[in-house]
Amino acid sequence: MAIIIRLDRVLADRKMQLGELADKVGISIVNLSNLKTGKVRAIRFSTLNEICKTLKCTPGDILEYEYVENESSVDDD
Amino acid sequence: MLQSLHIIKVRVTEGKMKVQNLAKYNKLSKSISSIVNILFWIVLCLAVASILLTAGTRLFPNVINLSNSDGNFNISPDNIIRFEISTANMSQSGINDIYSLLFIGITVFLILILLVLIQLRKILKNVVNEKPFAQENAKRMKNIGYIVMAGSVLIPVIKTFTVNRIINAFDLNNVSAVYKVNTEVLLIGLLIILFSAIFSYGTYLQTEYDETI
Repeated sequence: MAIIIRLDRVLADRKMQLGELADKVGISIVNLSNLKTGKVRAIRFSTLNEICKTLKCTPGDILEYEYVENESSVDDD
Repeated sequence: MLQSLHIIKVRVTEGKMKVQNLAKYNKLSKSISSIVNILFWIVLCLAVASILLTAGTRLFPNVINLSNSDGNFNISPDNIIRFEISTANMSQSGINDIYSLLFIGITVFLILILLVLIQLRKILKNVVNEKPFAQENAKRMKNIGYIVMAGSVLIPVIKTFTVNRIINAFDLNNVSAVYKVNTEVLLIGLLIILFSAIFSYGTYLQTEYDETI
């Protein structure tokens, strides 16, 4: 997948730990860790909303798209 | 402020209801799992006894005697016609053949039930662990479907064989048993396989949900 998660960068900028963010957002640290390492398939807008609200950032700060040549389309999955 | 409190109250109530429903579901699945476990052990003991009796009719022919006080032995392999066999008027080898076929039929039936119960136990174990839509469960449901379909073919074979053996023993003319696949049970097996495919899709949806935060 070409979506890159920059959560660790934003957390470092805000000097916040993953556990603290997980508590404030209301999701488990396991799920947040999976998000950070790119192991999740999708993120709900409500979760993204809470993360951006807590970190005082925009979705673009956390999610980055990188063009990958020959990437299979969603329909092929 | 009041509206926010109301929303919080509704959400807490919904949360409580969800927990109550989960608790009821957990209790039900544990009860069903216990019943299936008990059934499994009962059927296993019966299957072992049946296998021993099948071997016994061959190894110790004169020991097993299923006739009643009148010296008659009643058998109804197809559950339609009941044969009353007078053991006095039949050779011992003929009686042993019929006993063998009877116990073989019971053994095959019990083994098929046991195979279904083994799959069911594993499915219920996942359900009790709150993972009903595990991929293995879809595969196990498919296996149950195949076992049921096998039963629809095998059991009529044994029934037909047994009835034909009895007919030969009675020297009945113009009478024979006809083999026919149990189409109703075959259809049930096919339905179970269809449900397992639907369950597989459910597993995919569950994975999608689990991997969404």
